[in-house]
This record gives sequence, C-alpha cells and structure tokens, in this order.
Amino acid sequence: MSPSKVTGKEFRTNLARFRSFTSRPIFRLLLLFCLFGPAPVALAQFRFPAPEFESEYTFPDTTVPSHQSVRQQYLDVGLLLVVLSLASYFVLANRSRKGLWVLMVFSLLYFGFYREGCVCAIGSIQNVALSLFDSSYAVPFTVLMFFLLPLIFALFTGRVYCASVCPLGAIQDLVVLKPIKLPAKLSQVLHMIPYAYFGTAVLLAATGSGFIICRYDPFIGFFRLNGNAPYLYLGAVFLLVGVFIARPYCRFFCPYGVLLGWMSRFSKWHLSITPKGCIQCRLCEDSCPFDYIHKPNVGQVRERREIGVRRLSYLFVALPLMVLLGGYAGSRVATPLAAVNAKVYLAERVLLEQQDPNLESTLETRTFRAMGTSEPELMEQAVTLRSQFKLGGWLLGGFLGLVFAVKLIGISVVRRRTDYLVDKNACFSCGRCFEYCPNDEQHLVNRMEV
Amino acid sequence: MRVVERKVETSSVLYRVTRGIGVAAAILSLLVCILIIANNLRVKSLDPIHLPALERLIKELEKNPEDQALREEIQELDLLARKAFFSSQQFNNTGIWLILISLSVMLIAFKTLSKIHQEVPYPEGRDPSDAMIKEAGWRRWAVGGTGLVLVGFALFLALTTRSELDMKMAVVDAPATEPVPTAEAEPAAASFPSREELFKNWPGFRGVDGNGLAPDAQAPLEWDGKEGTNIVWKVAVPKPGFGSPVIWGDRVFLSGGDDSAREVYCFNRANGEMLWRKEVKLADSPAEPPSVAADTGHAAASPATNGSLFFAIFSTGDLVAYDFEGNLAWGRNLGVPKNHYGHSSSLILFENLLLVEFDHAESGRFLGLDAATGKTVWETTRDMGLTWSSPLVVNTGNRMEAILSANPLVVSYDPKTGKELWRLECLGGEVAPSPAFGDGLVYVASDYVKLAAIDVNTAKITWDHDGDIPGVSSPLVVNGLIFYGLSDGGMLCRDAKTGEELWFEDTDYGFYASPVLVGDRIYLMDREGTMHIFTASREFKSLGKPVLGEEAVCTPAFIDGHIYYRGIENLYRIGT
Repeated sequence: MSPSKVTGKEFRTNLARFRSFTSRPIFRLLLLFCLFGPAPVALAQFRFPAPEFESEYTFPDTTVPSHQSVRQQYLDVGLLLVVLSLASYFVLANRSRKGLWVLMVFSLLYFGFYREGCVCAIGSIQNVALSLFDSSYAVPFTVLMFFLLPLIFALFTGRVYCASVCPLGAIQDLVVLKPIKLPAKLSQVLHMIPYAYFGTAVLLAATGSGFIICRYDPFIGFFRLNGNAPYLYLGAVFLLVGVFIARPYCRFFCPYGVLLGWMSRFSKWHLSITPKGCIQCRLCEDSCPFDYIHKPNVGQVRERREIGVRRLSYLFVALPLMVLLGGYAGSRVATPLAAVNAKVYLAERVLLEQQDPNLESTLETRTFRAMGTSEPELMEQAVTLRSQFKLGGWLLGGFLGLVFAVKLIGISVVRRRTDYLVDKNACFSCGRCFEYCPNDEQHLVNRMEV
Repeated sequence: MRVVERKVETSSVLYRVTRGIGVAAAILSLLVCILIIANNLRVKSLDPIHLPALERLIKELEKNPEDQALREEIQELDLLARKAFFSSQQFNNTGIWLILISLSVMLIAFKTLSKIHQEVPYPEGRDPSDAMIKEAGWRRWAVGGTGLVLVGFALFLALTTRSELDMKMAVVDAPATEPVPTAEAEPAAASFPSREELFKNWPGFRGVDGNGLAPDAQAPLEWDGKEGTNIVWKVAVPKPGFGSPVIWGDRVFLSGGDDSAREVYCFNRANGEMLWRKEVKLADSPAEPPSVAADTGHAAASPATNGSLFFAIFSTGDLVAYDFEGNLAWGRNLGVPKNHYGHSSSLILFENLLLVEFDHAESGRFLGLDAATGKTVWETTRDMGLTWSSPLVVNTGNRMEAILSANPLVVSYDPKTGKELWRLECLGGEVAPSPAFGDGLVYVASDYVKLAAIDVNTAKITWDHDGDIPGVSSPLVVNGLIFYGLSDGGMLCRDAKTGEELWFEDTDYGFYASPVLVGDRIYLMDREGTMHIFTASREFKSLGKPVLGEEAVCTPAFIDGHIYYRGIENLYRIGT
C-alpha cells in the first residue's frame, strides 16, 4: 500500500486542530507537568559507593569545614536589612511593583541559590524555640537577626519580607501564570494549617526532636540543585500548583507567616491599594491573585444585633472550653507525636524488637546496642521526653483551640468597610494592586506613556 | 466581573519570537531532563565498583597476590570506571544548570506572554445584599468544622497508636501484686525430701538449689562420644527436648515433644533401658500445640522430681505429675502461654511446693502448687514481659527467697506465700539466663542489656556490666568468682564482688548450657558438644575438652562419679 498523500488543505486543517489543542489549558498543564515532573529525578542525589579495595593509598585526615566567616554572616544580615528597607520604600513611598520584582529576583538569587536557602527566617523559628527551652543552646546572631528583622519591619511596614526577601516566596511568585480564585470555604480551611504547622514545629524544636520546617522545606533541593527525590517532588508539586494557586506554600503552610501576620495586623504603615481616597471604581477587585482584598460592605444587609450579640456571648463562653478541648486532644496526640523524637523512637523500637523477635533490628537499634548505652538510661530519657511532649501537647492543643476560638469571634465581629482594603494580616505587600488604581497618578502616567 | 477583551497582536514579531523562545526553552529543559534521567539509570545499572571484569581480576589477584602487572591492570580499570562515573556526574551538573537557565527563560517568556494577554478589568454586577451574612456563616462552619476534624484526627491517632514505652511504664509503676491464697488446697502436711536425700540425687535444673553447685560430686575428665570411650550407655530419645535430665534413685527422667505429641520418659539409670514412655494428653490440653521456635521446641523446660513424683511442663501449658511407675498422679493445663519461642522456665521444688514461673505475653503468673495434688496454694500475678529464665530459691541468711528475673524487673518472692519481697528494674530485652546467688548477691543477666549483681538486703545494684553478657547460659558463682559462657563463644570469669574481669577464654562455639561446679572443677558444655573443664580459680586453667559427638544445649546432671547428658538426639551416661 502506498502512503497516502496529504493535501495542502488537509495539512492546514490538521495544523489548525493541533493549534486548537495546544491552546487548551489541559495541554498547558501537561506541558508544565512534563517540565516539572522529571526535574526532581534529574536533581536527585546520586552517590558513588565508597572504595572498598585495599591499596597502599593513605587516606588524608578527615577535615571539618571551617566555620562560616563572620564577614559573610554580617553581609547576610546587612543585605537583609538593606533589602527589607528597599522593599519598604518600594511598597510605601515609591509604590513600585517593578522595584519589588527586581528585589525579589535578587533575593531569590542571593538568599536562595547563592546562600542555598540557609539561613532563612522561616526556619529560625525553631532555633529561637529551642533556645527558649534548652539553656545549653544559644541562637547564633545571624539567625536571631533573620528571625527578628522581618518581624520588626512587619510591625511597621507590613509583610515586606514576603514581598521581596523570602526566597521561598520569590520562587513561587515567579511561576504565578494563571492564578485562580479558590472557593472561599476551602481557602478559609487551608488558612488554618499554618497555625498547626507553626505550633508543631515549635513543640518539636523545643523538645530537641528536630527542625521539621527545614527538613520538609520543599524548595531547598532546588536552591542547592541537589536533594532527595521525594522533597524535590514536593517542591515541584508546589511550583506546579503555584502556576494556578498563587504562592500555595506561603498562604497555606508557612509557619513564619503566622508571626508576620500578627505583626502586620498592627503595622503602623501598610501597603494601601490607593495612594489617595478610594473612589469605589472596583477595578482592583480581582487584582490580588491571593484574594487578600476586602470589598466594602456598606449597603450589605446586616445581621440583627441581638443575634450577633448572643452568638458572641456563646463564643466567649466557648473560648476556654475550646482551649481545654484542644489541650486535651493535644495531650492525647503527644504519644504518636513523640515518636518523631529519635530517642523516643529508638526506645519504642528497642522494646518492640524485644517483644517480637521476628522483627529485624534496625540500624539504629544495632548501633545503640553496639555503643553499650544502658537500656534503662535510654528508657528514662524517653520517658522524660514523653512527659515533655505531654505538657507540650497540652500547650499546642490549647494554642490551636485559642486560635480557632479567636478566629470564630473575628468572623462574628462585623467591621464597617467603606473602601477596598487589603487584609493587613495576610497581604504579602507584593504591589500587584498598585497599577489597578486609577487614583495612582504615577502608574497612570506610566500607562499613558505606554 | 466581566473583562474587556483586548485585541492581542499575536501576529507581531515580538509576540511570535517570545512564544517561540518560551516553547524552545521548554522543549530544551524537557530534553535535558530526559537525558539526565537516562544517564542516571545507565550509571546506576553499570555499578562501576562491581564491574564483572574488575571482580574477575581481583579474584585472580587474590590467587596471585604478587602479580604486579595484574595489580596495575586492576588499578587502571578501576580508575577508568571512576572516571566514567564522574564524567557522568559532570554531565548531570551541566545539565542541571541548563535546565535552570532554560526554565528561567521559559518563565520569562511565558510571563511576558501572559502580560500581553493581561485582561483589563471591567467590573459589573454586585454581590447579593445578604452576601456578607452568608459568607460569615459558612466561614464559621468551615473554621469550626476544621477544628473538630483536627480534634477527631488527634484522638484517632492517639487511640490507634500502640506504645511499648507506655506498657513498660505501666509495668514499672504497677504496685506489687499481692498473692491470692486459693481455697483449692491447704499446704499439705510437710512431706518432702531432706537436704541429704536431695544431694544424693539430681532433682531439677542445675541441681539441688538450681544454683549449679555439686561440690561433693565427682565426674570424669575424659570421654569420647563418637568412639564410645568412657560412655557407659547411650540411648536415643524419641522426641526432641532441651530440658536437662533429672535423676532420683535408679531412675532418669526426661521430657520431649514435637507438634504431634508431648511425652515423658523414664530410663533405667544402670543400663539406659526405657522403663516407660507416656504421652501427655489432658482433658483440657489444647487441640493444637502453639507455634514455637525450633531451637526452643515444646519441651524446653527442665522437669523436676521430689523422689515420689516426677513433674514436667510443656509449651501447651500442660503441667503433669507422674509417679515412678508412670501413672499420672495429677495434671492440669495452665492455659496456652503466649510465647513466640515457647515456654522454657524450668520447674523448681521448694519443700512441698512446686514453683511454676509462667510468664507470657498476657497476664503472667508465679504459682505455688501443692506438689502432691497439683492444687494451687498461692498465685501471684506478674504484669511484665515474656521471659525464658527459671526461678532460683535461695537462703539469704535472713529468709528464703524465690528470685525471678524478667524484662524489666527482677522480683523476689516469699516462696511459702508468694508475697513479693522486693523488686528492681534493671533488665530488658529477652531474659533467658536464670539468676545465680552467692554471698548476699544475686546475679541476673539479659543479652545486650546487662549483667548485674544485686544486693538482696538492699535491693540495689552493686555492680553491672553492659558488655560480654551471657545470652542463654546461666552464670555460676563459686569462691567469690562468677563464671559464664557467651552465646556467641567465649568463657568469662569475673570477681563476684566487684565485677572485675579476671579472664576471658575464647572458644569456637557458643554456650546455651549452664556451667556446673563438680568438686573443684567447672563443667561447661558448648553447643558443638565439647565439654570445657577448668578449675574454679582466678586464672584460667583448662583440665580437658572431651567431646560428645553431637550438638549439645542442655545442662548435665552429675551423680556418683557419672555425668548424665542429653544431646540433641541421645541420652548419655558418661563415666567408667
């Protein structure tokens, strides 16, 4: 059979079909998946086995890398201060999204790729928590500054750290291509996750059980161009999702965002959509890809006052009960949570292996036995840690109960809004809304020039 | 909100170039990704350190270690393999940078395109007038619901998590269990053999007091089981078992069992003739025996005898007493023990009581039974882990104590009443060695955990060691010294008061049998069947290493200058 000849018309039809297909969202999604999907495999660690043959070669002495130079540390802190100051300037005085974007790219390159994502303010929560509960641990100066400076700036100028400094935020911000608006119910639920993550991270750090924020940092593998495949995949998923749901880690996971939000809520100066008075033009209504713009509520039907007062009274009565319920649940979950601690895990495993001799010993239990540490000593340490987790569980649960109660009260208190305002607690101060405001003369001039 | 469609100049050169760059960068990064993956898979399958050619050359070098040319060839090949590996790593590193750059270019291009496509907002329509009330309503539900789900999840986690540590803490914190006097039986009128009678016989595991001491006995120094040298008789035992023989008068008793049946045997001490053999089958015996480990079996516990009855216990929980003619005097099932290796705590007699340590995974017990009738005189609950050791009854100078070692507690009981006298948490893991006693100190051990000396008057540890601990074999205390064999080979002597190691003698095979003092010599059988005979002194002095000719794990019995030994298959009388 001879190959059929494609006519010019057929070819054009096929080409049109192909173009039509490639312009569909599903094709773009597939393309993105193809791009982000294999990347983690490519970046995943691959180690060469240690040489096993005997030779006359004398191995050099093991060397320990020298401490990070003090100059480098001061440079990091200095740059952080400069970038925060510049970001504040771009947000409040210059109202320049472009300036913020350039700053963001710089931060991504310096704090992300060059400094390999460490030290970062998000992880510094754990150092501070550990130092508060372990007198033998002192927070390094750099870490303390990375913890404090963004919070201090947030107290005065809002979350400018999120806008232009955080490399985790920057890498996500760059991939925001087709942001969609999440259903508000889902968004509300997801916004509770950072509190739980924050509390858990503090508890684990305070008990010396580990720094989970760093361990599960989804982007560190990208910054270091190396890492374990599961974490790289996690990062790739965040970036892929981030194409459509803008900055998902920042909005729904970031534990540092909890602290920044508390500070930013009371910020003296904060980004505003309009530099002058709002003229209710509604142009900015959908400008925020994160959905952090509150609409005015003038003209909306209000709840009857007595219903609102009654509800608030119930909620205030329920507040201590919710704290207690949360505390109780937290104390009960302390047992499984404590297994995250290496010592508790080891003790559990040693006991498990004793109970079931068919269980194969793990590297940890073999090492423990080889080291000759006494078992009662291990058990004693594990029991002490468990009691710390019990107390910590009460505190963590109580904290979450309080957060939920305050959130419910906050929803029930209606504030009158006459203008379009940003959510001061959550707004990243990215400045995307600037150019939507017709009252912003600077942007208007720019647009006219264009 | 409606948006105003803006006419986009898709045919402009700038637009098309940007789109082309974006797509090209995307394709490039995808290609590089695929190449890197293929490269990784290739290197992984290559396994440069285990190249067949390299391994062949290394084997050749082992045969000709002096072959310098071969050595150089190996080094060259190894270097090549490593170079290939690191070249591929270099390829990966370059590729990663290419991916990074192309992804960046793609993002810039696509962002530019999305900027060109940016929609101009044109708001129309307003939210319904009751939107605020409705929004607040479902936001409250969302927050409240999430909170409840979190609480539920926490409680679910708590309820479904089993913590061994919690169970251990519960055991340690548990108050001492009072023995339950039972109405089954009053202690029978004192009718039990005297000490003199006991020392003329071998009534149980490790002799009269279960302490491994037979200072008045004698035993040969030389024999050969294979050749038959100094073997008076040798008989096959029908079913396997790891319990030691017990001897009274002219009778030698054993127990044995497998999945099909559990049995007891009586042999003529003079000629080894089997006098009777009985299958143990009680009315309340389980239909199927429990699953046990092969190296423990169904008859691991040593039996005991008081001169009128012979007692045996099995993995099924069947406890039986036979008279010397083979008639069942009494039998009862204590419940099938949950013990993955198999029950192995030996029976021990104290006056007219048969003491039974019945520790298992659920509700362990220590029982004092009337030896004549089998009825429970007292019973004490033991809420602790599994154990495979046997009780030891000692006279501390102040009182009689039955000392039981388990995970994690060593507990002392009044053997007459079962009342707990003291407890100390010091062990862990699988406790198989039985306690030993001397000069006010009781010695307990569990493999991988510790060997400890406990002062019975203060219930405190005098000394302990974490290394070189007996795993199965029980220690022997004599002349202010403690001797024991290690499961993986080696014999040790320590100063009993200080724990100081005095000597260590390496052996080819490990020990499951326990050492016994015979006269002034110590007999310790290794698992291969070699008896290590040495002096009970601060320096190691070997007196002989006769062999049995078969594997051996049992502790021997010594009477009248003879050794009665149960090998894996045969029962021996050794002597002249």
